Amino acid sequence: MGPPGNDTTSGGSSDAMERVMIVDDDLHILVAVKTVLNEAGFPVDIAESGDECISLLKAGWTGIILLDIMMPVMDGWDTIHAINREGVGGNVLIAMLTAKESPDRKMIGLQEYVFDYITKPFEPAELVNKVQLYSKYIRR
Amino acid sequence: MRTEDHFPIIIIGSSTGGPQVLEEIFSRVVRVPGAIIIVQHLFHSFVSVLGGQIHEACGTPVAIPSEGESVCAGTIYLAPGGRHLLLKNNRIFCFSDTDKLHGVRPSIDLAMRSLSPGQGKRCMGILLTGMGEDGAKGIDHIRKIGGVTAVQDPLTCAIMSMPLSAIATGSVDYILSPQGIATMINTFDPGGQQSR
Repeated sequence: MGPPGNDTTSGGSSDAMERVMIVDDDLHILVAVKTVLNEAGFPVDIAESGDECISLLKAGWTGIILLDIMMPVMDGWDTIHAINREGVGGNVLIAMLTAKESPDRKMIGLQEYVFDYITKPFEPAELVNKVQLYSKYIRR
Repeated sequence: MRTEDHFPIIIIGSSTGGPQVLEEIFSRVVRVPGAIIIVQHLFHSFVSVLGGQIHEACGTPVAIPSEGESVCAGTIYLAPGGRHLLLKNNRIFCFSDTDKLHGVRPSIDLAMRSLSPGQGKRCMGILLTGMGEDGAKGIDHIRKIGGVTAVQDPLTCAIMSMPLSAIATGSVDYILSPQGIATMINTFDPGGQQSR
């Protein structure tokens, strides 16, 4: 497998599927999550930092964001603050995908923006089920 | 005999991870005892979608109430985003734009604490998954005015701090799985003898 990229290739019928953005500084996680979701038919984009996530959103990206908390420079909470500050979160659903078993106090005040909280390691089938559920909220 | 003025009110508070739990609960709800009011911390653009999902799950229409609207039996209500939801005299919806409480608006605490003692045992407070302490004081209030209280089993929560905060008050009657919460709603009959 090559390095993860921002492509729309997938093993399923991506035409009907919502886009997913994985935001994580860990290349292994990016590859693993992208592979699982591509195989389920979801087109996946990746961002290796909060800044990259913001850039994609500014370019008009919409869909489901799976956001890591522990990233250097701008962590997941700072990224949500930046999304709100830039006004680019109007048509995205954010779920945290994190190794932290429970969130820290920095989440207080951001509850309404965090749709779900998934703890790594995750079961691939469980992740796919969750993303399918999130899709219902983006599509309508 | 229960009159229309004495129907029960169930307030469900929920936050991160809550929409899927609400769908699971309401897929098993076959009876709406009185009025069910859901306060979910959720970005405003998703509120109507969640209402549709709950409707789809249980078959009962879900209303997003407006200022001054009367609470009706047999109805499920979902708080609109961005405003605190309160009940006046236990029967009239009103809203407030005061500061966020526990970092959120609508606040579960404010909704539950707006229930007055006249509702007595004809009320139930349920708290689901979420971050922080919102809902703990509300659960304590409902217990103190004679209502029944329950929280989602923390082990089944995406984030367990809200149920744990409520449990710490000592005012939680039941700790239940989502399936158990559905059963509790289906069997809630304060005119009968639901015991703690």
